[in-house]
Amino acid sequence: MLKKIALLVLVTGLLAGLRVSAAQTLDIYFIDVEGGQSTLIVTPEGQSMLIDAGWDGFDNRDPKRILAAAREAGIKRIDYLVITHFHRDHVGGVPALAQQLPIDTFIDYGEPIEASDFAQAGFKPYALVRASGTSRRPAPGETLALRGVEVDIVASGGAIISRPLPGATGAANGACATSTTPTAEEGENPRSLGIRLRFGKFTFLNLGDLPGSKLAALACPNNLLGHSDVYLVPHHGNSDSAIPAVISAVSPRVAIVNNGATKGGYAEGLASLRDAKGIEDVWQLHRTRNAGAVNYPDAFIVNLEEGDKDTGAYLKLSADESGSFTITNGRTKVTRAYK
Amino acid sequence: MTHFIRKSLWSIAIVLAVVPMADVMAQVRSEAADGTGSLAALTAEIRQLRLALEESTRSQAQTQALSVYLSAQQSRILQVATRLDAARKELDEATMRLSEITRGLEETRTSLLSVVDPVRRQELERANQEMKAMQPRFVREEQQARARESELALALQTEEARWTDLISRLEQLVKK
Repeated sequence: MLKKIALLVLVTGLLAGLRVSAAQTLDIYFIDVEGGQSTLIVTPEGQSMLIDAGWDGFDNRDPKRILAAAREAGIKRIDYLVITHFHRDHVGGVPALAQQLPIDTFIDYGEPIEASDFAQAGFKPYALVRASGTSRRPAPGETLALRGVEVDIVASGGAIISRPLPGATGAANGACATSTTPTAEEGENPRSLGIRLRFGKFTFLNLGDLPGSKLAALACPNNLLGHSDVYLVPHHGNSDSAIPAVISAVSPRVAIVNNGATKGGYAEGLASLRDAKGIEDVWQLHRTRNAGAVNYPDAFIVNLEEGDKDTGAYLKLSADESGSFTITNGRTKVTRAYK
Repeated sequence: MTHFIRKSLWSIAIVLAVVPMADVMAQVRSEAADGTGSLAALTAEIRQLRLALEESTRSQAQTQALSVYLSAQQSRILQVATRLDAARKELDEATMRLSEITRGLEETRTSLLSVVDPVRRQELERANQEMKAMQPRFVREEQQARARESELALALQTEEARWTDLISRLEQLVKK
């Protein structure tokens, strides 16, 4: 009997070792940083990647919100911090966050070219924190390998991929014929570091604040992006990211707009999503009160209030390898499934 | 994981070696308590002890051999599983490409039904032709990737069956 029990315990252990965490999900927390970006990705094996850290100031509002999401996710350090670009609404929260949560590897495109305070005031404190860890500057086309999850670099420092992403055809995009040519922009936004993440059949596209002609070049004349299940709308849903040919190229099931009450979430940006074919749902991180902007129903908006009443809830996405996923509104706690 | 398996196998070996020895020792102690103390009884006890030692040595040798087989089998399973993971990734990509081209063709076909502007029509027709030309390649690639994935999934099943067989043999050894 003793021998049998010992054997059973040992054999169970051996078999458990062979099949590691087969049924776990990839979790993505879209944190409301009021018109900036902070997206926390936690892999089934517990690796973490934070894309941007929101604003500085506001009594450390954004680092506190990121910490709350990290606590919910059960992570105690950030393995990769990806900075899409050096504007304060993306990089400002890093120094305060780094005091609470150790950061292993910093991924960005080097230094800003913009002399504005909006870029320099965010970059300088960030650069000091970055110097304390390991940093990488991957080029478009490179891949960051997390265990079980692949992250393709789509754009960085003003350069974009020259070949279709894995799984994309690179075929001519018929929707380009109906799109007007967007204007070229300067500064940090068009230098955004953008990624496409794959977990089994699930795909997620996050291009930072990539706007205008740089964004359009990924979809026209040929579609280099291919389909992504979830599309974080670039530049917070501003008019310069409302490019029908890009939305058609990505053909997302779900689009997420990381807007604030008055920053991002503009009329043209939201309208372009409403007009697009095939999008099942659009989620907003905040209700917008921009002129002419038509909000999606409250159930699809994470935060409705402003000021003291704003609880800063997040949107949580959980995906499995089959490509199906759920989205939970942190305010209402209601979960919607996408099979 | 290799370290864990090695440690576990040594634990099995110890269980296999110690448990029969303990049985014999208990029997010897029980008989000594009878107070016979004769030479014949002592000889019988020594014989029993020798047999127990031989049995224990045999069990250890068999366990060690199974340990080697299990270790090798584990490597095989990991190799095939890695190749299967790569094949599944390839299949996912091929499936994505095929569904994208199918969706693109459907979109351009629908647009061509309503668009009248000659420039836009020309653009749509160009895209449509290009996608039609690409489609057979993506169909072929998807089929090849699917076949490869099936082949490796079957290979993994075979290797896992071998692993199960080795575990059963280990179980039989313990039952003896």
